[in-house]
Amino acid sequence: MAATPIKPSSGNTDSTSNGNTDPIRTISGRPVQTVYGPDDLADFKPDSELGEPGEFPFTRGPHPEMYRKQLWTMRQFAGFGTPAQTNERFHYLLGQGQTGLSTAFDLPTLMGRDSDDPLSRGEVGRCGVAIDTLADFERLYRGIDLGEISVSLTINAPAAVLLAFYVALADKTGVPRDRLRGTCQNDILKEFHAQNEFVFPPRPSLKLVIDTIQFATEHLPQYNPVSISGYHIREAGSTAGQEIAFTLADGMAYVEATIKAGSNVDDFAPRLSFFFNCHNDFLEEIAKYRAARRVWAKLMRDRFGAKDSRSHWLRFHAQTAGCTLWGAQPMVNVVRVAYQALAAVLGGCQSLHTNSMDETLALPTEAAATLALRTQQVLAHETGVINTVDPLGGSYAIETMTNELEAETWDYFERIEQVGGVLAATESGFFRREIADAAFRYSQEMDRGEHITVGVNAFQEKAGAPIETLKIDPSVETEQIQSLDRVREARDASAASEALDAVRHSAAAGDNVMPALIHAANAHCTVGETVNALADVYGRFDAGVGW
Amino acid sequence: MNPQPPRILLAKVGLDGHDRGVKVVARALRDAGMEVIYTGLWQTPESVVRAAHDEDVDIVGVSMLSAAHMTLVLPMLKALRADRGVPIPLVVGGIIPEDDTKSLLDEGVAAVFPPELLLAEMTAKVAKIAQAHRSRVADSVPVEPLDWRLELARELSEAERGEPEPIRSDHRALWVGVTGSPGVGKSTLINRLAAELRSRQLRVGVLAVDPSSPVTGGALLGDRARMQESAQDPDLFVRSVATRGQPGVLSKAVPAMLRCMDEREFDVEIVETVGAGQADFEICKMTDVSLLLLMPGAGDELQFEKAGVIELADIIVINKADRPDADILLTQCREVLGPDRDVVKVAAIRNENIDELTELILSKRDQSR
Repeated sequence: MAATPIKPSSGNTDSTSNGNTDPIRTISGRPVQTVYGPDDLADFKPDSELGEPGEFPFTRGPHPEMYRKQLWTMRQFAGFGTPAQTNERFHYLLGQGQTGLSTAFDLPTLMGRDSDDPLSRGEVGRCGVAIDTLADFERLYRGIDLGEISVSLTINAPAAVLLAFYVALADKTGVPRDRLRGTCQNDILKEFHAQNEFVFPPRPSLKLVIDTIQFATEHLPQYNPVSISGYHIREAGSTAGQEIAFTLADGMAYVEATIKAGSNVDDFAPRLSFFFNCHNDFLEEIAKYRAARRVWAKLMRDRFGAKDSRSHWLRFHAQTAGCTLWGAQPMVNVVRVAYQALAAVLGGCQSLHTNSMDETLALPTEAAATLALRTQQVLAHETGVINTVDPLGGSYAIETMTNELEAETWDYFERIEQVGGVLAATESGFFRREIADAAFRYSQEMDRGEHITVGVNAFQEKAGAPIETLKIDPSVETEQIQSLDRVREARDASAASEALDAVRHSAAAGDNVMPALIHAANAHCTVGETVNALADVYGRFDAGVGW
Repeated sequence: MNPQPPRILLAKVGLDGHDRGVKVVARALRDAGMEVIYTGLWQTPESVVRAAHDEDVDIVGVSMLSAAHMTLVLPMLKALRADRGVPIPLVVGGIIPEDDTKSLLDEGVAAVFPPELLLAEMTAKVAKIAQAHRSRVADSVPVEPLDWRLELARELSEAERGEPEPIRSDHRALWVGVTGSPGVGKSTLINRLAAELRSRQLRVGVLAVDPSSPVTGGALLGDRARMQESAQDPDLFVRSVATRGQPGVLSKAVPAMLRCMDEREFDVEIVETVGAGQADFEICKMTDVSLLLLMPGAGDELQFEKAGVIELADIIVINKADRPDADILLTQCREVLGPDRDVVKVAAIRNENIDELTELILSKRDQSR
């Protein structure tokens, strides 16, 4: 096979060697130099800007010994079909040495709809596991000790409802609430910016997040009630700088609102966690994580007056970038994922999901998911990169890029302020437009052949044999709907209906809705019924186009 | 004869919200000179087909990334075939496994576009399929459609292609114009107004005008995405219109299109302008009741507008009235306009005070008769 870029790029020479050409840029469009040196860091103050690992401003990492003391959590996102099928995959992954669980829900669940909702047609169990009632949660985590294994719930609009299921399940199986570990994604703001899995309007949505943060502060001391996410912002086409700027801006909005709701910043801030993308541009990604940690530390200390150093640190989960995977020559995806994972580790992540090579085609097969996990295990146990903390710290290039990304972030904060703050900017579609502009710019560059993608616009092969992919049996939908019918028939209908009334009442009164939601979970109310009860009070949101 | 860019309807069907691809595609098609109507998220197969017919498009594109394509695409193909002589071609973009791609093509999908396809190739294929459809329609013996919506949709297209007509003063329906700066919430307000009018058993037609690019002739028509109710209601008809001329000017075809709708016995016909420049004056003169939308934080604009459309509009509507500075704007309006002009505060997203505004609009109808 021959190297055949279909449109070889012509402008890719360094600006320093030829004044007529554009500078070489990162995939986010930031110019990069041939060489970085002391001049680039002339104004740099290592004492205050870098510090030691485990010390303010945490540029080098939240812990002094990092992976020597605790390896990142290997947490592969999984979920498909019925709760029983996903339970089987969970047990398999734990058996293969995975150290935490991450639950992927199907689209109806993510959108707060039941499996028998007309809009759920064709989507039940397709992109994740289908959950309708507490009985499904019992099947999903059967045989897994929730007091031992940390479990994350990747859910947003109905996050409070699913967290209530989780707490109800722990209560039922005798696990003390204060032993629950794990993370609920529960970051609704980025849904409005990027992923579009929202139900209620921005303001009541934010109220729900605050309720869960305050509930967790009181009852779930080891649990991360929100994972403030840049992953989806990046997948929607943002640049690296936008990813951290918009994510940290969202984080500020949560902190501000929780303080306004009466909490002390140091009571809840240590349990806020973050979730970033791990894209292709290796050095830029490493610098991105370092810049994010530094900006967050400064924000927490200087803007919010947090005193506890655990409130200053930014801990994050990383996932390799789904949008960088291609269906052509899918084995090549394994290599992409490995490099991306290395960047996340050199950038100091606390937990990591490595994508399976087939995730651009379907949900991963068991073999592909295993290989993805092995990729992390090789990184952790064979490469030696875990032995030195922030090994690229002090590199002229990395420190300069970290500074640049930090500056870009502060600039964005200013622009967001100018359009009225995070909520107003969310409602007016500011974030959506910025991201859509960046996505279109990137697609046009791809079209012009300015980015080479192996196997796609260069080094193509005649179509090889397709790899095996996971097929979801269409009978999953029928099976799940039947199981839902059985729960509806068996439950005490008036108790369920009273529980839903209590949810409405609690939401209308502006109380913390978590106790009412846990009660509804125990009364076997469905996800859809509970979300509808909340929507009766909060209303539903339609974002329009938002280009 | 006016220029007739290809018209394409782009849709997201089902619950999947991943819209990076569909938005990039929409922009690329616009830049290639097409009129792109975007439905927004969470469409059903039925609502997409209905929108395609109302908008009289040459091609429909759906974006599918959640593996529900077989369940959702086949009913669309069937509905597109059932309703008229020459079915509108359907193309699918997104992540579709190879086997399913074959099945979809066998079932009659005109093309399947994978993510790695270059935008230039995609736009060329779309243009070709749209053109072929137009030729087939032109060559076909017209089938008499039974559905009045299909007839109206075609009449509107003909009116859009034809010579400009004078404004008719003897129209049956109440003509309502809505103008205001981009982002002030015109489409959202019209969506709420239409729902309120429908709850009073009034039949409503909407023409939503967006600008065409003076360079390529393409346009992004996104107002429909905020008017999702129209997808289900038999007595609500929404049509997206590109200016097909200088930006900032109302489409020349609007009077003719209003006349077409009038013949279908709507009670209220609403025109949404681009919200910039000369169109504001035109719409105030053309309609029975004209609304100028303002939002809090627009105080400077008010000063600027003092000698502008604000003098002509029948009702000044302050949208986003839940914002703290809404009352400041209200006071400013009163200062500038005096006590006799109608100024109404609403919060369209929260559906607040829409009934009062509707009353006021309908009272203007009664005054004018």
